[in-house]
Amino acid sequence: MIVSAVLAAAALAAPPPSNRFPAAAASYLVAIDGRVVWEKAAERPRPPASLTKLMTALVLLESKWDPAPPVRVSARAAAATGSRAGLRARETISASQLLEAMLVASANDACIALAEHAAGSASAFVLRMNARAREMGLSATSFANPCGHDDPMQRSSARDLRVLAEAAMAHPEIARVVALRETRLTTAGGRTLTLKTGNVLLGSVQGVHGVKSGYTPGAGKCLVAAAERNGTKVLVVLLDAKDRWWTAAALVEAAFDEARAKR
Amino acid sequence: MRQVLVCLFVFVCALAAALAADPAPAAMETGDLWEVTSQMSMEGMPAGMAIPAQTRKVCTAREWSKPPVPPDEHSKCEMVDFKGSPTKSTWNLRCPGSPAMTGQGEITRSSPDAYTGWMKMSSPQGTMTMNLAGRRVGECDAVEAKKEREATIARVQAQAATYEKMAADAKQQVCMAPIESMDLKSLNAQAAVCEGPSYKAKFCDRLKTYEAEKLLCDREKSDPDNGLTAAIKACEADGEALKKSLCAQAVTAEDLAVVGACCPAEAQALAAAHCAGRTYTSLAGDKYRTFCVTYAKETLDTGTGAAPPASTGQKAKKSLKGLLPH
Repeated sequence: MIVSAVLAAAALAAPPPSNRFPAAAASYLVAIDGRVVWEKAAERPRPPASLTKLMTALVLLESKWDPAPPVRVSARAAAATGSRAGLRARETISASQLLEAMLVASANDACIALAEHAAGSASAFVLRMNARAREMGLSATSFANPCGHDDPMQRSSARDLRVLAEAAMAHPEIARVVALRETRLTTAGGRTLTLKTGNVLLGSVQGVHGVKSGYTPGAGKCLVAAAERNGTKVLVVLLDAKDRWWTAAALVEAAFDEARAKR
Repeated sequence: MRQVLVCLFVFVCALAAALAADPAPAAMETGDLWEVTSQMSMEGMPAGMAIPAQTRKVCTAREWSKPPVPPDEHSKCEMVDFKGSPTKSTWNLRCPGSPAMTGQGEITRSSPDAYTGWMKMSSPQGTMTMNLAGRRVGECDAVEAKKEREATIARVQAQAATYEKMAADAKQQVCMAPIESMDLKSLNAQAAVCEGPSYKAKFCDRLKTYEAEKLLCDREKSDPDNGLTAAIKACEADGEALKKSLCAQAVTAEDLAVVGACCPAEAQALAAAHCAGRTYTSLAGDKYRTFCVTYAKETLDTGTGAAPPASTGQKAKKSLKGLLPH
């Protein structure tokens, strides 16, 4: 009771988030140590593009995840549009490598192959994703496909994506993979594919250790970035940000400045 | 509290000298062996810090014609104005140092074999009192006792000198730390301990160095009360000249962090020349990328978007001419 009262008092004492950077993006959110400090239209549903794959990974990891078995790439998966790893139909490759391809390079062929492997079909997997979104209370979120292609029913909000990203990063395997700047895949047939991360902040902004970028014509340039310096944690969500990387790098620096000034 | 302890230490030294001495005994002179119990107290001293009573045996000459301890070149405290009678002896104490102390002593002999007395020392920290009770327990060799006394005094004073040096070294270290780190807040907070103008003068002297200016520049935005502008004000320095020199050196050294934090005109020119119109990814491996992110943060704050505006091109590069090394 006392703890609840103290937490409630602390919540009341914290100032509400402000829209300090109105030009940052159509919708954005910045959280420092779990508290949202700046946001704009953060509750408004928007196309999430490949940030969707954070839910895909979360559902996969929570569903008796076995990284070892080889997954057969279907013709439908191999024909996926957008970012691709370059998988071929009827090729087999381990689930763990597909997960890396999906999260590091946002590969849609790997994404569909994993969804089909886990649920029999992409549409069946989407049902699990939506069920999980409801469980998590992501009221602005719904999915029509597992990879983030534009669709009127493919939507989320900066607030929901923050919750989703935090849940995903709580899984050590996801946290490990989204920190990779490069991955090297080897199919059962011995073909090797080298994929580079789409998150250019990795290795260029101090403390950034994940998570995911995305782009579709409908969503614009999107990003969720997590960073940590000296125990201070910063999470940035950008939806439809014209200058995504400049903005994200600047917001990360501004957030750490803010945290330092408040100490 | 450290000063109080130093005072106590000096007091104990003076008392040790007083009790252990006698007036210049002749060779082979037989003296009196006294067992003396002393109990020291100080005004305002917490109960937990009370010093327990001590009992020591000391050898004195039979006849006290001078204070219990004669003026001694090894002793910091001088015993003066000794007045003796068969039943009562009094004297004054003068102890140089910081703080200087004065005091009085009195001994009343209730019989040839017993006395009671006290010594009081006054200082700015308060008055210290030592109550004394002596009992004659036999005879002694006063000459030998004097030799032992002198050795003891020398040892105690050496210890005191070591302690005082350690205390002075520690103080110097504490007082110099804000100058090393150019921490104006700490310098001000410690002003009472690090008395005198010398530490501030050292701080202000160091302000003239590029290294110190860099440290201050680093804090200019995150901790303005402890940054370059605050230090310039505290030292009543010529801020314009100092910043001009700092920025010229920063530009020459391509110290982009300093330029970004403390040299707005130079930063503007650098950003226009090296950041404007460039994508984040095109700056991979470029030494200006971190600087450009800082600049992007500034422009984001103005509400115009993070990307450094693509505009000034050649004009910006011209404005940098003379500022940047070629």
